[in-house]
Amino acid sequence: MNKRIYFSSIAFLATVLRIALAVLALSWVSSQAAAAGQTIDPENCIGCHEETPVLGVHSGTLFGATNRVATCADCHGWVTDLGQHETDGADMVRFDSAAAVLEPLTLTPLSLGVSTIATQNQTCLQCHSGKTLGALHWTHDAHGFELACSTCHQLHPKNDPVRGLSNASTIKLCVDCHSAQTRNGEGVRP
Amino acid sequence: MSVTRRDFLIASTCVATAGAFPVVHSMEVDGKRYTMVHDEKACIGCTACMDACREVNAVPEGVSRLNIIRSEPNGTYPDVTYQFFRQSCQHCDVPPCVAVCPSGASFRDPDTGIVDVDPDKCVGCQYCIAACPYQVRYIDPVTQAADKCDFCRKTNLAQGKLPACVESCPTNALIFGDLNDPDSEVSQVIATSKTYRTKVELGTDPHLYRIAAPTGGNRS
Ligand code: SF4
Ligand code: SF4
Ligand code: SF4
Repeated sequence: MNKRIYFSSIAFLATVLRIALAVLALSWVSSQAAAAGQTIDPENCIGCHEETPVLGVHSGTLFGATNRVATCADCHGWVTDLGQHETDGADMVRFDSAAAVLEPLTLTPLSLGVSTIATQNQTCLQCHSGKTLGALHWTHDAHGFELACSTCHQLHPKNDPVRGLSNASTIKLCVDCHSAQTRNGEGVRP
Repeated sequence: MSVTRRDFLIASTCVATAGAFPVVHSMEVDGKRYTMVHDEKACIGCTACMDACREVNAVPEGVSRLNIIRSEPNGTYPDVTYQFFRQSCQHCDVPPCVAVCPSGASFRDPDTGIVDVDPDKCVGCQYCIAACPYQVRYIDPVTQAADKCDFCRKTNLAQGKLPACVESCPTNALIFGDLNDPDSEVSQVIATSKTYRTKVELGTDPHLYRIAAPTGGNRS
């Protein structure tokens, strides 16, 4: 009986120690971030951006590079200058399908505050491999250059609209975009 | 009436097929010569054509008149391309499926060049399925007769429309028309583009032309 209490107190102490170490490690990560000029704790983002919580599949997911739950900054980047950020949203990776439309036209999508397709997709490719994506659905392969992932996927709402689409709706998605291209004379046979 | 005739044909051809197959096709073209081009350069592999065909022609699940076959990926992400191949009846001018049909169910319509099946005459012997070098025929699970693409002869064409697959294609990768009319789009495309057909060496004279995608495939 006494032996059991003895062992459970050891286990309790070990847990306390582990938590303490984790807190230390976390504050070390934050101080490293601050040392690199990254002054905003990503958990603070929601203070201003409360209307856009992440409710989809990425909510609570582990971010491979840090092995902790993904934060806003892991995908959107760190804010180095809060004043500038509050004025024009500087330093952010923005996920917006507009890039797919703007980039071929202007080659300078950043002028409208939208990150390039490459910048957006590089963020996703930190965790998702092109090979896995291609195996999930071949259209990932086919649009790797031309479309931002965000053209089809949305991670903030609870449900990503393209997940679980019926076959007919998937075809409609292809048809809607590509017939518009054909009408605009962008296809091989307009 | 038709069922009775079909039953009769099934009974009589069981005996008749023991001998040589009657050659019943005609190669003469009196009127139109309907032809299709699949532009593999323009095709994006969306399969809208497959869905439209199934819907318009009430093709039951489990069988299909049209398949778009996607190649293996070429290259590695994000630089990947695919090729798409249309598998459907080629409306051969010398159709082996018609030559082997013991009941006269498989026929070539001389006014249009379309190869079709009369389900009331089909006895379900499946000789045509074996004879077709393009492997596009099947037994319809509802009618129990052989079936395949008929260029929408009984549906859209009969209503003065283009075939369902052609109508539904978002990139205009399918071109359909009369090869006997030199001014038709299909004649123009065949005259001015580098096209190819498959298994021409068999002497079937297929009327599905293809424009090859560049080596390595398409970029959607
Ligand atoms: S492709 Fe096959 S089914 Fe079609 S006409 Fe030729 S042989 Fe007959
Ligand atoms: S022409 Fe008609 S029957 Fe033939 S594949 Fe197209 S839609 Fe189907
Ligand atoms: S609808 Fe057109 S683009 Fe889509 S798979 Fe069919 S032929 Fe290709």
